[in-house]
Amino acid sequence: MQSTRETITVLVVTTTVIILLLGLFVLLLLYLNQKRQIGFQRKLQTLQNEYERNLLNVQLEVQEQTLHHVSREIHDNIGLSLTLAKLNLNRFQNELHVNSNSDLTESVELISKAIHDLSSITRGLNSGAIASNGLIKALEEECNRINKIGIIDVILKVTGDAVYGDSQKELFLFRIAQEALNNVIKYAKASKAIVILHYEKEELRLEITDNGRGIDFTTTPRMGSGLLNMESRAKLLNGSFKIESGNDGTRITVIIPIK
Amino acid sequence: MNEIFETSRSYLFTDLVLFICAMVAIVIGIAKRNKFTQMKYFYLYPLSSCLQLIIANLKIIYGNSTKWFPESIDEISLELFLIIEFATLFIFYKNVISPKLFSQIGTPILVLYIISFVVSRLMTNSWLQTPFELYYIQSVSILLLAIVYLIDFFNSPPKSSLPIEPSFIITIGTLIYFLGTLPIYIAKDFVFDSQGGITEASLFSINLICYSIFFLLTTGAYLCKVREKQ
Repeated sequence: MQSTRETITVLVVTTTVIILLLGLFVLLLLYLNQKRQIGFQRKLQTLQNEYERNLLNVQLEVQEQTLHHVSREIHDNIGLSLTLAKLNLNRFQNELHVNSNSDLTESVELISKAIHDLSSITRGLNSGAIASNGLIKALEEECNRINKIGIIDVILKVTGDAVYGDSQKELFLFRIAQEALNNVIKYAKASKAIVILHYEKEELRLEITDNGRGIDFTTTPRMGSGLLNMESRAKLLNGSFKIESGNDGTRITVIIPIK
Repeated sequence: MNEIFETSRSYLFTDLVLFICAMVAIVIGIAKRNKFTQMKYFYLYPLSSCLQLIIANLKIIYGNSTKWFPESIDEISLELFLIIEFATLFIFYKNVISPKLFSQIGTPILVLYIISFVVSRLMTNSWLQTPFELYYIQSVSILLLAIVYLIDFFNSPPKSSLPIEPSFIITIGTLIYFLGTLPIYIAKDFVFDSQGGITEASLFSINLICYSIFFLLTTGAYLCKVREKQ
């Protein structure tokens, strides 16, 4: 009788222990699966970010190639045609001995201006030219080009010890500044814009400030495609993008690491 | 009816709990049988358990002398229950374990089970009384499939949270039942007599409790949300 009772106790205890161990095993499995899921999600997120980054890179590369192609076409075809037209007009001018105030002379001057403007535009579009001249020179040219239009007054300020970064980085920064200045011309109704390029030891800060009417985010989307493009480029450079806007103007700040 | 009450009391009313749990699993299982492919026929498991319980109780009421029940009806129902138990769990794991792995593990298990089933019958010269060795073989086979499922689950990319994965819930039920009742079958001499009759009903109630938990988990598995395809 005593032996039976002991056996029953042992059996009940064994079963209880098995069930308890099983419970612990289930908890362990739940924990492991949770950990695995978090790891998997993290990996998936990394892959997704990498994919988006690559996609954005390809998109921007295609955009650059298109701009390069357009700039070459303008230079090679329209530029050449205008140059030939100017030469012909010069020849007619010489052959006909017309005076300097005639319509023909005016046309020659107009064509000369068009050739000059086209050349300036193609330089702005051509990524090769930007890469070879460097960011500061490219920004100077862009500011001069805008100043020549006469709608706004753009000032470029470079502070700190300027260093040459890699050409892709400089190109992206130039495109951000270009896009920002285009926005100022198109929407801001500003009379003045300042582009500040500030070189620090670890980072480079690009600021584009205008004295326009600011961006009304209640009527326009928070991030239009132009602003999104700027932000994407800043992200690709592992940088930050900030936009501050009020009634007295807008300031766009991009900070990127130098190394 | 008094005999049923007395028997139930000796089982600490765990047979009643099992009956209720099995009934709930049957109703939910039939209603949701098309929800998960792997559990399409799983409700047959609690159904066969329930039928076996009913037959055993009817046998208690009418005894062996009635013309309505053949003498060996409870043995037949138990045999059928064991076959259905193995079949439903085997089909279930066939559907949840990756086909390549299952063909390597599942097929040998099935062949071994069939061979041991036939051989045990031939050796004991009885087709109605299940030898205990077969319980062990059945338990080990199902436990192996459950472990293979867990290994396979953790080797594949994580699909969803485990508490809402029906296959995982069923596997936990399988482990609870087959591991929880293992001590009873190992110490069979204290629970069963030489004819397979139960001598320690209160101890055998562990078996009924484990089944009840399993069927509750089965109901839970049927009630899981269908995962959206990713």
